[in-house]
Amino acid sequence: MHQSLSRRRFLTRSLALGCSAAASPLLTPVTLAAAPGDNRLVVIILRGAMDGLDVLRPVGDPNFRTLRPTLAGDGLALDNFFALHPALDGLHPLWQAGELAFAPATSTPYRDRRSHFDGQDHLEAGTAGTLPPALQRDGWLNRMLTLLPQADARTAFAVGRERMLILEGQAPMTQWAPGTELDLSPQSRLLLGYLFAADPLFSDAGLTALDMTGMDLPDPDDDDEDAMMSMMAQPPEPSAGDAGALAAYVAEQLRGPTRIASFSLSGWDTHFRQERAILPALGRLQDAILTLRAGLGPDWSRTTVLAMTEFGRTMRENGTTGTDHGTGGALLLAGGALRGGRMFGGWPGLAEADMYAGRDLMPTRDIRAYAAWAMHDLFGLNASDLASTVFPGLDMGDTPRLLL
Amino acid sequence: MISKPTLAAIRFGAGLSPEYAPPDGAAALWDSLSTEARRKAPPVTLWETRLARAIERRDQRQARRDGDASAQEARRLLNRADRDDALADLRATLVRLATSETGFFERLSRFWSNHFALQAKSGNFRAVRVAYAEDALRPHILSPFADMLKAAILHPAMLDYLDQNRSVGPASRTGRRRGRGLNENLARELLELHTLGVAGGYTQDDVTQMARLLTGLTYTLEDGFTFRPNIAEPGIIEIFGKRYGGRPVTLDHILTALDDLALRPETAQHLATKLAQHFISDAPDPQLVAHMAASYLEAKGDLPALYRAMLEHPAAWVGPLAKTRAPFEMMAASLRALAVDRAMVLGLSRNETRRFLDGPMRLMGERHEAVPSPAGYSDASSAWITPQGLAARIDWAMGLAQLVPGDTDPRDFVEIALADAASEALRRASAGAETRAQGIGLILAAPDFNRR
Repeated sequence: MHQSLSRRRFLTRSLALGCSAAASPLLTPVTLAAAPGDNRLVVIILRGAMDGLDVLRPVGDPNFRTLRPTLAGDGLALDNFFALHPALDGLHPLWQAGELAFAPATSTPYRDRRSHFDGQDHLEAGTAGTLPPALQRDGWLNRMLTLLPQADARTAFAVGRERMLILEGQAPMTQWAPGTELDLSPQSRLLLGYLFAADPLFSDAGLTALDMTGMDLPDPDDDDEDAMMSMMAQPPEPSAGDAGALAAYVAEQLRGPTRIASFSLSGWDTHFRQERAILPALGRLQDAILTLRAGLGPDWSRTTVLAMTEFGRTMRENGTTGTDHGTGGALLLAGGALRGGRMFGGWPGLAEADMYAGRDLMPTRDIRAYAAWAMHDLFGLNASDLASTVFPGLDMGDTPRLLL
Repeated sequence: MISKPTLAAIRFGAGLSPEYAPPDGAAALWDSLSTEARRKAPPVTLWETRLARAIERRDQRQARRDGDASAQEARRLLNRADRDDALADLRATLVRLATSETGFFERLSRFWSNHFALQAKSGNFRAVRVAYAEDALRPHILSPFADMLKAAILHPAMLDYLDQNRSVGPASRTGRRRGRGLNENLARELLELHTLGVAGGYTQDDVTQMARLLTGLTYTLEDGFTFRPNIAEPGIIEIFGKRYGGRPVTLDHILTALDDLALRPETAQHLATKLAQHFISDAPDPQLVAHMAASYLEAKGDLPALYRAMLEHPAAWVGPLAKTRAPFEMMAASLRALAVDRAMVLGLSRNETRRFLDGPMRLMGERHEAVPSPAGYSDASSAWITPQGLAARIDWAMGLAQLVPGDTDPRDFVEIALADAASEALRRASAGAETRAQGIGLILAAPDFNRR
């Protein structure tokens, strides 16, 4: 499937270029090299600021119940200090199997303004301090791709209807939402390809749109009958938006040539009546992880999932049985490749003196260090490249030994 | 070099049309503002209607709890009525933009509706975005910004969306009796999104103080907006070195603070930047933005002064077209360029509207009656340009073109729809299509038509 797709992409583009005399970066020959290794990385962006203290409850801390009169329920015991939110009960077996772990108190270097939108940009850009200008923004997963010599456009996949800054940048990648179709005559396809190729703002997205929707066209010299048959035998594409469906599509790509995938789950901004408001988001997160695990089958053992959010929430409940924007929060890690069933990075405590700015959980480690070590271990990248290209200026510190 | 009338129509207006001559420059756009504000535009659902439905929904909830078997069916009909009205609003707002003389006023209306973004939260309200914008924002598009700010912040839809109606001053009577407290959601977005901007130099303490000051703002479904002294934080509250509040607690303290926020230089800079980024470029000329911000402050926060400063600055008239038409704008511009009969659009049935307008717009990345966050939709020119979003644009453009009378020649249509903004490549491609309809679809789907 990968080969025929790549050839088609090449054909579409060379035909399109036949109409245009102008030189184009699209003339670059398509790489048919094998994907870089067998390990897989999935990054889930949890938009809206997930309340780490609710997901991963420090029930062993005497201050927990005082700070959170309505939100300090018991949960499912993970160790003698932390308990898992009961709505994530489907993930409890993963913890027992060593396929689930947390960094309970982490964050990006973003501080004090507590804006969702800036916070998400920091998380996805992976920069410290101020953000680069809007026009030059790229994401850390994309910069990591530039370090993988064998990566091609299908190595990394952003899935869903919204843009994923984390995967945008110079390195080619693919973005798509499952369920999108386009019924076009071959001539219209050709002419549109020619028009899109001529406009830098539209060329990548436009040509990808034509490629991705052109898959069901008979390829005149397709000799890979098996690939065609297996493609046709697949069940109909799920609709975008449903977390399980997104994850199923991601798993399908990861079983193919894709090694890096990212998508986002929102609904974490629980200012009011959090006990109830957080349930749909937890359900989507659990659904996504369990679907990835089921869909990846044997490849789950080579997969690492990082579910990260822009910042944590206030340690104290607010006046409306919810929580407001905070700083430190939890990173969730899952996967068969994980050295799971444990907490990474220490616990700062919930006492007044332990708080950040007298209100928030104090981060004990930069969240980018976990991502960097995961990429180091999964893709064999060296620390100096990670600390210069991917996360400029990051001190990775000692290895937390995330993987088995 | 794109001519001034073409820039005026595409950059600042609804696009080119065979029925309306393009405005010949800044003066024509400026003049159109007052006439378009007064024009009899196709009506949208009234806020009062949404409010009445919310009351009905609440009462039915009670009836259902009381075991009333007919409540289930009544609720289904009520939800359908709210949904049908939302579809009618989509038809009406598309026609408003597609059939206005220049479209500048309607474009501003969209800008402000995204600036003060909200949507219905689950609960009694359904599909309130258009009705709220009509009620709170549209009357103030040509007013001082403070008027729009106050109307937006005090609106029940906003108080509900950003939880202000839940926030209670901890030292207020209710706060002390019931142990309730602050919710800083609206206070933060007021500073970050609506006024100063995220770079506006405020601190967490300013957010907390603003949250204390905003207590008391709430609403009831029967009376709409209400100020309740029982939940308002008493005492002096200091924000940016100025003291507000004190006894007795009154709404006036809050209104004064909003008036002050509207006139802060950070707010002027934030609004000027956003407006210039919306219309002209992701990275607008700093001198243009500075001129806009200064004019706004000089005019005591009057919005028309801000618009005028943008239009009169030479940097506003430099090509190329650097921004992208949002899905709604692309659809309206297509209907306008094809001179689709407004009665035909307004007369689409529920299912036709879903299939032809609402569904495709969602696939393009913009959902009618919904916003992705309190920050609204991203205004970056690349924000809409995803493969899946472009596939949806192509699909819709090709579908619309099938409905066009068969004698429309793409070689003529490219001149109508884009005039001198059409590239040579597009002229050639539209002439090379297999059928007339495909040629027209191609023009609507091409990058040229999707820029503004």
